[in-house]
Amino acid sequence: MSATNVNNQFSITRFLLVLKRYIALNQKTWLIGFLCVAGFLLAIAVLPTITSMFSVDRPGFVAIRGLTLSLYTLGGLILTSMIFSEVHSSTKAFQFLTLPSTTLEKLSAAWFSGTVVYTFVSIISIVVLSVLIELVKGINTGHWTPFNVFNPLSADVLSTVLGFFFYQSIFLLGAVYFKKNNFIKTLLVIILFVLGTLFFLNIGLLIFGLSQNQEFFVNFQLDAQQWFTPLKYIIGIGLTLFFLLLSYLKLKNKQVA
Amino acid sequence: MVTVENLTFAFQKNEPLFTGLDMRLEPGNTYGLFGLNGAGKTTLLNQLSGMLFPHKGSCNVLGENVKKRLPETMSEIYILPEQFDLPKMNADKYVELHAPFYPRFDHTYLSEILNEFQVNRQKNLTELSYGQRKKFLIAFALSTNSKVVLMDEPTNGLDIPSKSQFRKIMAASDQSNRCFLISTHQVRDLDSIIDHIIVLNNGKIIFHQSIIDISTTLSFEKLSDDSDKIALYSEDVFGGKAAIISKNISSKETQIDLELLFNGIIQKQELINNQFKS
Repeated sequence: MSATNVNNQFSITRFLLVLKRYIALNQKTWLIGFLCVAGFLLAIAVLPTITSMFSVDRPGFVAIRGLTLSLYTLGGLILTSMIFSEVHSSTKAFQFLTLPSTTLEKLSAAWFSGTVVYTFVSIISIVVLSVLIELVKGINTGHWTPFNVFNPLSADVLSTVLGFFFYQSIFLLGAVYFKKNNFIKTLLVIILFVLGTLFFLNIGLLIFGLSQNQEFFVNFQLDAQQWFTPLKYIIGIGLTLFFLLLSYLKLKNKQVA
Repeated sequence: MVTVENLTFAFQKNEPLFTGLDMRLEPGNTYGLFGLNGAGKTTLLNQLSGMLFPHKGSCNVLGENVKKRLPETMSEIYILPEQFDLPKMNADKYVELHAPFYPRFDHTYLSEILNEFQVNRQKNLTELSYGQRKKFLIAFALSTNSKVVLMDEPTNGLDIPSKSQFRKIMAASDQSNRCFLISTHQVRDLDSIIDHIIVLNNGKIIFHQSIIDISTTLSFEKLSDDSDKIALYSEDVFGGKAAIISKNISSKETQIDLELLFNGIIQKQELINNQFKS
């Protein structure tokens, strides 16, 4: 890629250069992660098939579909937690902090690589994995189930991806904020926040005398409310943008460790 | 080109490192930044490169506050830190990823310097020795053609031939529109390439003079024990004293002894500075 025309506005060329840099710096970690997860999934899905432990009725990939989606989320959050590791190192930070690129380009490239690029690579990998598993199962059992191949456009996959995009923004903030063990620390903060919220919610219910009111809980079915789904998405998008804004501000003011 | 105004900074609340530091650097010059351990040389370079923010005051490069880390400003600054880690990739890949951010990056010049330094471009940067890695980063820094190049102990870790090569490369580089600020303890490594001396002590710049002014104002001589010349500062050496003497018309041209000058400035700051006031 040729040299950039330097200006201080957001530049797509620089965004792509920063993105390329992130991918080049993290590609080995990504590759190892993908191979480990794929190997593990392949082993637990295929081994029972070839040792005849799988019944013909039990589909190959479907057995690990839920686990695969959980690992997609978990893996993405772990990789996101590591994306700013060089910023926290006093001997590496100069390459990131003095890189002639805006904070928005650096953050958006990190976000893009951790969400869009990661999801794209993951989905392609899962599709390939599911084809492999179904193929091995078909060969070993003689029972072919091509419709069990992973469909990335199904509702639960889209819902998982959207959920991942939300949690990813929190872990991106954790990646900028914490110097070490970013994943564990962010996870701990989320757990403490959820526990704290539940605690204060219960205190509130006690204060208002609703904790013993069975009728209140029977009538208060959030999922049944029409407004709940759009509100859930609005809050989710709003919070995602809020966490990205916090990450931006933190990164903008980041100094050498 | 570089303006530091009223810079105040502290790592810990009650221990200020800089209090109201002012400094101006002009293009076409190579400045040597000297100071005792802990004087704040590295911190000053980090401030000038936007890696640290002042608590008060500002650091401006080409009229823009470096704290903003704007791409236009950052493409004109390159910092070579003393301690650094490079990613696990070869030199060519590193250049491919980082050079496009610098609009005047000179790939031909980079190749010339790397050849001069005999750095293996194909080898993984993490597998190179510290000295080799430093030579690579020196080559990269010079090839960016950034207007402000900050170097923290650039000769630290270089072997003797590499130090000579470094001096040769620096002397041959086009410095007309560029400004180099080189922090070092090894004053003898750089005496042939710097044209200004800045001494940092107790958070202040206590000396800032050009080599020309120094050589027209001070004389560096070896005096015998019975010499009647009055030294501004002297140190015992084998067979007499190495002395800094105020220059007069009859004084002969002498080579500047940077180490002696530095010690003299630290010990007799006011006396030495007074020589430049007339």
